[in-house]
Amino acid sequence: MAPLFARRALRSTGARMAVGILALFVLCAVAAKQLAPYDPRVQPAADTGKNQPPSRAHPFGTDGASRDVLSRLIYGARVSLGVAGSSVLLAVTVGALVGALAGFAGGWVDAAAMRLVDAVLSVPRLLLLIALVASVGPLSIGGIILLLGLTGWPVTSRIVRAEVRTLREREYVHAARATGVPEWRILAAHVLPGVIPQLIVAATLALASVIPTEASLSYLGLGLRPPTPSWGNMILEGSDDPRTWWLVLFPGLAIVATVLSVNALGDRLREAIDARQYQRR
Amino acid sequence: MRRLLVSRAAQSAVVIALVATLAFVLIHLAPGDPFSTSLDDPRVGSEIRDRQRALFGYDRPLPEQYVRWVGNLARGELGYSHTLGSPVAEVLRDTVPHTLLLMGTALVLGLIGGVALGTWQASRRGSVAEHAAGAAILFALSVPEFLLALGALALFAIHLRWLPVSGMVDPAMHDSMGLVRRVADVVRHLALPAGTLALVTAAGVSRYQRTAVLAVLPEDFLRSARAKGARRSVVLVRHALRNALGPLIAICGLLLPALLGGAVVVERIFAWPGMGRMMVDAVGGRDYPLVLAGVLAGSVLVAVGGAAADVLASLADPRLRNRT
Repeated sequence: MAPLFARRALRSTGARMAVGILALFVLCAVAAKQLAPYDPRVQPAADTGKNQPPSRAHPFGTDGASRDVLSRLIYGARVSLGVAGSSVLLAVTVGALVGALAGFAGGWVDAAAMRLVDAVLSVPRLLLLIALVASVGPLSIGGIILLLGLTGWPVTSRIVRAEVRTLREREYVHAARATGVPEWRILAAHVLPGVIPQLIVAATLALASVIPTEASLSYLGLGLRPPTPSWGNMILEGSDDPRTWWLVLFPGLAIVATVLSVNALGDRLREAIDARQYQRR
Repeated sequence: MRRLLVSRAAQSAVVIALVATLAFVLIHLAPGDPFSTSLDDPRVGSEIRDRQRALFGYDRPLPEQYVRWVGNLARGELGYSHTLGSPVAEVLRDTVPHTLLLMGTALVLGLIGGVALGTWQASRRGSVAEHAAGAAILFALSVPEFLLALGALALFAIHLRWLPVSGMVDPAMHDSMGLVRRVADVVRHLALPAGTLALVTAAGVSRYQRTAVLAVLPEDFLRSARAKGARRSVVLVRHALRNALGPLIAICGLLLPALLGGAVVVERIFAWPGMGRMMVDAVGGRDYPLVLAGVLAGSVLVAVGGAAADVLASLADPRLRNRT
């Protein structure tokens, strides 16, 4: 049973469409092997040339190495969404831990953590990632997940910290403390569960920013390397020649549809949580 | 007011120092140095590599390199770029102004567009047109800058041929032009990259502006303005807009990181000779001094811009002064 605020968020048509689109892409990612009409890595057959515009055999055309764009797009969903999802999981976990500790402990822990957050946020994420790639060299999938995760946590930690600071002063928390519940249990059992709705919103925000960031990094040639198909590096490979528009359009649409869905869903969730807070007052 | 100024300056200084240290540590902790990869040529013997390392100081222990780097920074020496063969300070002097021109133009255009759009949305709240505008804004915010830039490039530069494809000036004709035509030449080259960034900025600003105007509209002074018979547009512009201005200036500071990140990608696509393109190029050669200087310049820009925005915001709106 989904919590009330999630059900309220899903009441709008836009949010349902967003969930549908995301589910479709996740299905592509999970069942890439079954859904893709061709092998994304090899030249499908001798009869198909390279850089063919969309046709019946290749609905999204073929690329410069005669590979089927639709198949690469489907496998690209696995790579792009896998990287995005894993790094968001990492970022949200780190952000929640830092934010909860800073907000709950207060004092110098809070001050130190928030200055660190300020510092990380003062460098544009892409610039920071460029510097990190310059340092560690070409990235593996694990490496890029790690870098995206480690540059993505500050926003989450700010959101969680703010929420923890308000929850910390609630009567039921004071009551728990008065009855002798240890501090760690207050944080784990009484404060953190209340943060979950904000954490879900933070995750949608993180997801909506990590997908374009990964794509941009790949587009700059600093992210995932070919031949691993990601939506970003597919665009890089196709963007040299304006005549091969299908090599840019379809991966581009996939990125935009995903980010748009995540953003729309995040907006509805935020509204639902706000409504819940208004009711509480 | 002075307290705000001092506290914001101190805060910015702390942030910049932290960024400098973090960037240095992250870059130097990774295995390898510029000369372990860029001189892969087997004809280059290990003694040549060692000599190069000694020349640039990469053979020293990390703490010593850090102290030396900070000391040099304090004296304004940013090191030497081994890929470009010139001092980093010179490279920054050549590239940062171009990035500032690009970002400044985009910020101004984006602000004007975003404020107009957001105010209009707030005044037409709940109408079909406003919903459509909201959807369009969400769409614009969901398209990565590089896709917008590629789309703009394909449409205006390649298909319609209205604007140049890349660069900042016409390489053949610029030097022989008069002043007016030179400026026009730069503006023509600026249009697409700055327009791309301005579009994204306007979309972001309009969301803040809409919320800010909606928050002001129910206030008593607006009701009295309308009650005394002021026209709707006068109420919106003279009263509502003016009161939403303070937070808006503060928002500009918050927009800077995203704008700079976007500039990096856009500079690359339109071959705009700025800092972002310089950094992307420096990655391949593992040109640490250049990359570090780029991160630092970006952080200084964001920190100083953010502090300036906060101070200006409190000048524009006395109600913000007591918040910090």
